[in-house]
Amino acid sequence: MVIPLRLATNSVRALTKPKPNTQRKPSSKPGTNSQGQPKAKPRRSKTLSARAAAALLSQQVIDQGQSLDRARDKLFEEHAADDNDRAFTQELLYGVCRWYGELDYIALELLGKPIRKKDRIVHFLLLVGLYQLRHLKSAPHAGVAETVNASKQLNKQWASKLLNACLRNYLRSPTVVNNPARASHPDWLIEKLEAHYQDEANAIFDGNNQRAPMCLRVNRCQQSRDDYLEELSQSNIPAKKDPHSIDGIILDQASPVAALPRFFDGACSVQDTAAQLAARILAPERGMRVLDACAAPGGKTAHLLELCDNSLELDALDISEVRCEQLRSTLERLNLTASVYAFDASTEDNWPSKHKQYDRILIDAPCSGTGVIRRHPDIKHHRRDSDILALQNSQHLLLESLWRKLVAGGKLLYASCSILPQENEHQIERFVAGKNDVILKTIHHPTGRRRKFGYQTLPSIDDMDGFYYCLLEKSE
Amino acid sequence: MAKLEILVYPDERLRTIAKPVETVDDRIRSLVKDMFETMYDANGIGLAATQVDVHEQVIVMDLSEERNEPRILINPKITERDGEQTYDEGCLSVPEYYAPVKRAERIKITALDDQGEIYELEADGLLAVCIQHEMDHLAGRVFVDYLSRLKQDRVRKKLVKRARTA
Ligand SMILES: C[S@@+](CC[C@H](N)C(=O)[O-])C[C@H]1O[C@@H](n2cnc3c(N)ncnc32)[C@H](O)[C@@H]1O
Ligand SMILES: [Zn+2]
Repeated sequence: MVIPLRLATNSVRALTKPKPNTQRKPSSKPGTNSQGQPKAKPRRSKTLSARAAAALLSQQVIDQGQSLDRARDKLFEEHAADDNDRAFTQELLYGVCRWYGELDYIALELLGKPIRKKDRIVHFLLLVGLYQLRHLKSAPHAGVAETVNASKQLNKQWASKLLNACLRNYLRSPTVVNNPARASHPDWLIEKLEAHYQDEANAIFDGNNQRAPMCLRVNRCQQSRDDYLEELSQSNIPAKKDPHSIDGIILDQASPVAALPRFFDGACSVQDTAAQLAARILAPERGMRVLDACAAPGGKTAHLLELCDNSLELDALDISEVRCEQLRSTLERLNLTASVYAFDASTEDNWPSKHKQYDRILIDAPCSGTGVIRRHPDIKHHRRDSDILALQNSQHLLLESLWRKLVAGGKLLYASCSILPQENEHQIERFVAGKNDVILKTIHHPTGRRRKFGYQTLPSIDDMDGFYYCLLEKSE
Repeated sequence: MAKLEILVYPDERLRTIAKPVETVDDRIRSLVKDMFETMYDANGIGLAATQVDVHEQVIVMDLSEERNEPRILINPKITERDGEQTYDEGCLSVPEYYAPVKRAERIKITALDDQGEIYELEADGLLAVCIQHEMDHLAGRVFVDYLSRLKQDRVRKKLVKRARTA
């Protein structure tokens, strides 16, 4: 038996951020969840508090395997709430997903015996309460009261005594948990990270559990970074230059994109520092033929174009038609041009012109996402050890088949948002071993870690996502 | 060690029903070795002897990403099965084709290892899928048999054409 490529891409797709769909139809079967079962009917009203919402959402994400972004967007559509409420719901939801292992341990200790399956929502509400007490600096007694109140909204009034007792017991004598960040990772990931990073693994667990800053990439075609910083400050959005990306700005505090000056006219994009390194490393020059093989939703595609004043002959592919739509709208918003195609870049079929070769190729490969856990804590709950093999397979096929599309003297950048060597340096080592026309290029960058093959940024260093980059040149 | 040739669907020899191994001896162990080499080389996660035109009940598998967890199943038998799962399967005998197949979600099996010792194994997820897929081979079945006529015809044509142009 062999494992399909499609399997890998499916699971990646489930984890990547869908565009909030503004004209979504009302859900076709009201009162049922995605499995078609009747919902434990919380009142559909304006009054779903942040705590109740976070309990519902964390149950959907952790117990029912839903993607965090999708579950949240859906709930926000169904319930009126102001921006502050949403931000707080989100804080609680991320917190519970991040610290689940730790909080679950404490909850079980406080409860003595686990809550019945049909009342799991109460368990999640307890985790929400514990998260506040343990990680937020809010007034503890108000926190307890609000959490207890939320049980009514979830039609679990019977649980208010229990919740009250547990949370007060916790306040009286807070439970000690050993290395809570580590405890909040799945076993398979702990094993892999410790095997490879050894003493550094603990710093990575911590990094994965930190909140990530909101980073912007300035669209160079429209204005300089200094000018945009000036505009931000006029809009009362405090921000500073990103010390590691010359196109980057870091906001002191997250802001809705709609509040950013001229966002919808393409002035800037939201993108992590580490992801901003890709285009600079590949360094295309005006007029070159460039291929972005796994392009959607187009963050890196756009950056490549911005660096060359929108003057590249750029083909942008993605296997997913839906995600290609997102890619097109990214380009449209930023006023950039590329040819977008939806097909599998690792097969010979479907290429618009079979023999076309490129001066620069970017493979931003489908991967485990283990480098972006701080932004997508649901990865810890959804990824399985067995996914890695399928992903490696896709990555290998992409490398092998796209190498043929590179002109002699051209450069290919292999990138992933994984911190597992299996998807990164091992992948390249294996690839290079079978070839005699590969030149390994050194990447000069003053952060992250240089590897024998390629370069790795880590969530534990300089507050950026974990990305892997390896630049390869084809000998003449 | 030697790499073996893998039969390609719709080769009729894939329909042969494999016989149980009588004694697990050096001949079988050397077959197992060759099968691993063949499977690793082709980036497979499982290979049945049928696929290399040996019609005895021998299966090799390795689901780990490091390619360092070899499993050997000789004369495997399913003793329990329950649940249902659908997985996109592919097969070294059906190159570059994948399709979802419904199989039991959990199975229990017994089999012999390469020393002829009997062991029991409970499997779910991908492991369960892979075992059922390979055991099908020993019974002369290929995963495309579960697909619609139309799809079967399409795969058949594609592979026949491929064989001609290769
Ligand atoms: C890490 S994401 C790319 C992110 C994008 N480069 C950006 O910066 O916004 C990987 C993408 O690869 C796509 N993909 C996966 N397998 C593919 C294949 N075989 N051919 C083309 N695209 C593929 C997925 O649909 C997914 O959108
Ligand atoms: Zn097979």
